[in-house]
Amino acid sequence: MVDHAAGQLYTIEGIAAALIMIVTVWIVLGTTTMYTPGDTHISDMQLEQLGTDVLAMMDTPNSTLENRNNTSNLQQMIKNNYSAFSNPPGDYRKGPELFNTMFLSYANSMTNGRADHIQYSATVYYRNATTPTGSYEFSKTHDISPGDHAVRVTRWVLIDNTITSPTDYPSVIPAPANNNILDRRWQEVLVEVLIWRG
Amino acid sequence: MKNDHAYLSIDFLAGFTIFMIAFIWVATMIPGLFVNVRSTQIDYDAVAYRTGVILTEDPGWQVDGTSDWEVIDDARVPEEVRRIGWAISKENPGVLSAVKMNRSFCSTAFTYPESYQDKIIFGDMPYRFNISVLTNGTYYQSVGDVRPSGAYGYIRRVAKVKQMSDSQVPAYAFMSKGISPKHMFSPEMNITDLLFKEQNLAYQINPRHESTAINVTNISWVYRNQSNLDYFDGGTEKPVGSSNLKVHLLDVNLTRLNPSEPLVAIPPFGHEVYIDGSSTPVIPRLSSPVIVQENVSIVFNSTFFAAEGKTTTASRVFVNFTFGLWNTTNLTYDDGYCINSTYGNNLFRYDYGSPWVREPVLEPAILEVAVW
Repeated sequence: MVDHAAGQLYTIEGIAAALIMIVTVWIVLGTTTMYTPGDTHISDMQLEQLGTDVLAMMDTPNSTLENRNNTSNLQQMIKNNYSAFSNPPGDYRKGPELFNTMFLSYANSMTNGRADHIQYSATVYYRNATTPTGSYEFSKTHDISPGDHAVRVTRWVLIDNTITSPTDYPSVIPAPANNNILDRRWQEVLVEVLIWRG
Repeated sequence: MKNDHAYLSIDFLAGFTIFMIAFIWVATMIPGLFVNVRSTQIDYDAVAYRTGVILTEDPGWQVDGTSDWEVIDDARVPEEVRRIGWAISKENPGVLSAVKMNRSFCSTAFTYPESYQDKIIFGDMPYRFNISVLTNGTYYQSVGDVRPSGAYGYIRRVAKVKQMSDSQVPAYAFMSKGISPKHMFSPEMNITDLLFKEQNLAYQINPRHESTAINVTNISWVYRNQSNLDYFDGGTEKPVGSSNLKVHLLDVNLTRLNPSEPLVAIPPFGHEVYIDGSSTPVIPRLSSPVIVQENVSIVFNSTFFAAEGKTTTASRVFVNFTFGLWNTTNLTYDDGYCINSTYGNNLFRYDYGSPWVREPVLEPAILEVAVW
């Protein structure tokens, strides 16, 4: 008798194939749990978007006049880093204090009237003739230790640091001085803000 | 010789059956593999993010390829509005149009939830959603279901909303230098100038796309100071004037001057005239004179000037108020001084830099989108 068994499957081979498939699935099942931290990425993305929006809106002039004079809120705050100035009239706080109020107000507001719990730390990076690049701490919340998921947002801001004494300021208010760290010229500075919930 | 070609052996059948059972079992398990990936949550967040971007950074899209979807009337909205975006323009992401926002919350134009799923949310699934916006910390608008207690996709955006421009014209600044029983005051709105002097749409006064208003105020000054026109030369305002004189509003009409065309009247439909702060408008063409104590306001809604046959981008528009000085004792119109554009070159132009015009300002707004 001549057997023609070429090309046939036998029971033991079927079992082996089944086992291989099941083991493969078991291994794949075990590894997919590594996949999940998508959630973290999303909340980081949300925070980053929020921070970018807040800086962009603080740097958007509120009226034609502000737009023509390059005086968005953020531009004024950085320019008047130490001396008191008045915006709105009657408010003599310094730029960093105003930044603190406005940043937290924009970042923490929610449509249902509740407040979020966002903390931040802002730094300004600049370039001067004498110190090619430098940075200084601009403003921060009281809580200065970032949580696990701090994100970093930045914005280039154009500063007119040429004007020394605006004529339209009443004499009773200390005139807004220039930023005393930056050179007396137009320049772009980089505002970097570290944001986290805490 | 035995020929066993074309026969199946029992051995083969058993092996093949075991293989197929295992194969089917594995195949049915595969969808379960992705449970841990939480694909739906990621999808919801992505849809919420996309919706936030469309609303804050995109001006929308209508069937003719432009972004003026907000001017389309209710009946044509389902067919002609393709995408609802709130941005003033692509060049101004984050600066929103109050007109577009208000239009998108209009329940006569958009049915909930189909119109929104079709024109804002997109996607194959009928996602449920909640879109809410809080302008300047006080003005709340929203559309959608109450958010579920479980997981949902979410994004929060910070933006600024462009507010309408208007003008407050005090009567004492435009008093006539001559006497007459009837006076015409004609504020001019030069649409060409308004559109070309400021080309950044975020700060432009654009009567063809946004609401505008002219408020003539302090009208009681007219009859209290008939014999006191040295007021601007250092005189003082009189507290009490002639008690038998009232200011009548006789007519309000609009005329338009296009380049190389004669002056033509603009049909009196679509604008509203309010007297003394009343919330009920008087009809645009007055059938009888109306007594005005303090102010007259004329409000042009955002679609008024752009309507067919009204204005072009090259038009100059004159808003003509006709006032009469009514003597309540004699029951006649008396000669006297009143707010007037003709006597004394008191032409009021609705323009940038005018002390009487409030240019558009941007107010901060918070936008939240939830999708599930």
